[in-house]
Formats: sequence, C-alpha cells, structure tokens
Amino acid sequence: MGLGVAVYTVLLFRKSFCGRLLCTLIEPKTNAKSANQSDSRTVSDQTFHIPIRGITMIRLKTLLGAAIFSAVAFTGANACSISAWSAVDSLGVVAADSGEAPAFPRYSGQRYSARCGLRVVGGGTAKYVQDNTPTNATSYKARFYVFTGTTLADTTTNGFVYLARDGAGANLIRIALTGGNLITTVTGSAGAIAPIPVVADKFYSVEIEWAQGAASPFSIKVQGAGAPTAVTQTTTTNNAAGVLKDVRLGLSAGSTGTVFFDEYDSRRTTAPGRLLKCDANNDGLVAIGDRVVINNEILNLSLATGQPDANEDGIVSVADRVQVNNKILNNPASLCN
Amino acid sequence: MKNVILTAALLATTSISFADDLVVTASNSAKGANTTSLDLISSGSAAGVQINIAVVGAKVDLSGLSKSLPSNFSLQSNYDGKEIVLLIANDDNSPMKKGQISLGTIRVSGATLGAAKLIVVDAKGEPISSVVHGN
Repeated sequence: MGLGVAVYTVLLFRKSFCGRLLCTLIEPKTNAKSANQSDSRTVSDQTFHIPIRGITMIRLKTLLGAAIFSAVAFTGANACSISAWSAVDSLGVVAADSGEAPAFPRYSGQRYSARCGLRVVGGGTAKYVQDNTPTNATSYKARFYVFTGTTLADTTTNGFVYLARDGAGANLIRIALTGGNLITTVTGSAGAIAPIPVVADKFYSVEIEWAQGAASPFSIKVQGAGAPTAVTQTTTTNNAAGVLKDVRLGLSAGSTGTVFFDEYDSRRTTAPGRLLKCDANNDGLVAIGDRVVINNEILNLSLATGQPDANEDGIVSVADRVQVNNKILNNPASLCN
Repeated sequence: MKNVILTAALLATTSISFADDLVVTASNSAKGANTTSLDLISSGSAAGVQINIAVVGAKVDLSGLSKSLPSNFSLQSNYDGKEIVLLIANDDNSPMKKGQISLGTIRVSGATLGAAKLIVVDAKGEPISSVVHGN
C-alpha cells in the first residue's frame, strides 16, 4: 500500500470467514467493477444482489478486485447463473445447478458450497468465464475450487483450467489439469514449479499468491480429496513490470472431459483461505446442525447452504455424515478437521 | 424358498469377508402392489448405510421399515416422487452388529422399483465393499 493511499473499513459478506455474518476487514482502496456496470469505479466494497428469475445471486467484489462465483439456494427453476462474470466465452460453460433434476439427486461434482457451481464441458473451442476486476493488479491472492471430473487425461498443449493474464493478453499464470497433476506455469519464474498430484472426480481448493516485483514470491497451495493437509509449491518470479488484468476459469481449446468450478474469490492483500469444510449450514461452526443439514440433503429434502462434502468426492452421502459425527465427538481422524 | 437359500448362502459368504451386502427380495401382493423386503448382511463394521432406489411416480409406503434395527441405530427414509432414500446411522458411529439385519419392507404400487444403490461406510467414514443382490 503506497503512501497517501487511504485505508477503508469495508464490509464483506464473506462466507469463508464469517458464515452469513457481516465481517469488518481493513483493506486498501482500489478499483472494482460492478457486476452490471462494466467499467464503473466504486469507492467502497460492494456486495451485489442480482435478481435472476426470482432468485438472488450474490456477487461479491471487494475493492481489491475480489470476485466470487456463488449463489444462494432458493426455490424455483433456473436458480443459478453465470451472468455476473465479466465475460463468458463459448458454449459449454453453464451454471451447474444442484437443485434441479437430473443433477439433484445423485449429482456428481456440480458444487462445493451452497447450490450452484460452474460446469465446463471440454471439446472444440476454449470455454471459460472471465473476471476483469483485477484490472492491473500488482498483488493478487485468489482461491477457487475445482472438481477434477474426467479431465485428467487431457494432454492439450498449453491447456488450462485457470489463466491470469496481463494487459496485452499474455499469460502470467497458467494452471493445467493434465496427466494426473495440476501443472503450474508462471511467467518470469525462477524455476519450474513441481506438479501437484490430483485424482479424478474429487474437489480441490487451489490458492494462489502472486505479486509484481524483481524477485517476487509466488505460491500455489492445493488441498482436496479429503486430504488433511495441503501441498504447496513456491518459487520467485522476475516480473517487475507485470500487472494482472484478468482471470479465466474453464478449459482450453481441444480439452477433453468435464470440469466444475466453485467459490472463486480474489483479493489484493488478504488471502481468501479455504472454506470451512463440513460447515453444511454455513454458520461458521461444525456441529450437530451440520449433521441435520447433511441428513436432509441425503434424504433429498433440501440442499445444504454451506460445505457438506467432507470427503470432497462431489457427492453428499452417509460417509460425510459419519465424518461430521466424528468431528462433533472430537475424533482427530475426522476429515472435518 | 429360493430367497431363504440366497440369504443363507450370502450369510455363509459374508462370514468370511469384510463386505456388507443388501438383499432385495420382491414379491407380488394383493391389489397390484409389490412388497419388497430389504435385508442387510452386516460384516460387523458398518457405521452408516445409505440406500437409494429410483422409482418414479409411484405410491410408496415406507411404514414397514426399521422393524428390527439394532437399538442404537435409527433409520430415516424419504420418497420425493423420484427416489426412495434410506439412511441408517447412529450418534456415535459405533458399528452395526455382525449378521443379517432386517431393514423391513417397502410397499409400492403404480410403478416398479429401480435398482438399489448401496453405500456402506465404517466408523471413519471410509467406504466398505458392498454388493446388492436381487436388483
């Protein structure tokens, strides 16, 4: 934060830290783009509520260019939408709605939290959503969840599931899902970043930290498939003039398989962190209420509004209920820990 | 009689394995309704059991379920017009006793039951090998 830059107290509707409570954070002022005004500048943090066919979709963009893809479950058809993204390229990128048949019951993947996710079916041209809110950021911290699906066999050259680009459209960060690994390539990297092994049909959180600088640290942290710890790879980058303009989530041209994304969140100073696993009712705790919510989802009564998938296999089942039981009983082996 | 033989054979088989099996036994009854009995052959390590049976647009009676569950387990069930879901679990993840456990019966009219899907997990939430017989 430079001299003379004001510090603002901003209110965020941030599920990752505060459940459905408003939290107060202090972060530096920068630009943000309204979800429905493509180039407007705002002076305070915003939470956008966009009524879409009778449903409210929450679009959160912090002053720091944060964006989140999420939606709140309400009754009614067509509850999920991707219209709040800055741009969507090509058919095959759709909002995956766990609340609609045939996805629910017996969905696979679809979403990590709440009701909606982003489904991308590979093949043909590139298919992605794009967030333009980083807008020449010199510091960038992001998190998203990806369900690996059947994309691990993809061997597309220069393929991606995630791209961060500069103002000229050149890649700054590229993450590919191929050959059983997440492969990360960063422009100006001091060395190759080691592949991070992943398996098919599991959810993983991906956390990225990047900054401009002559010897700037870069890190990628991946955790999922019920694993209790993350795998982190770091390097330094020589990118003194680099600015991050936009981000894409999706699949590159010619990619195969189907992949799901959820809970994308990006900021300039504070790392979003992982969502609280097993917090099925999204109250910031793992307790008996979460078991009740998971019960209800298993019985096709209602979808959890939080993160019910303890083993991160894309299906909420009795296995997740047992994990929550173990957490409540303080069993250290619980995947909810 | 065939069902008795099947169940007995499964009991003999599972006594030397660590799998949990579900035996689905259908029978016709009066007035066009079908009654299906569900029996679980427990290996002695199941802490949670989930059964999903697709059946669309039927009249479903689930009142015949959970007649002889182990006392520390409860059975919850629901039919949403597309699928019957049975959830058998307890509060402390203690394992189900070994042997044959009758889950009770489902009575259906107006449609036939689809294949049952079975998920069985142990006290750690890890899947236990399981097979459905009689689909």
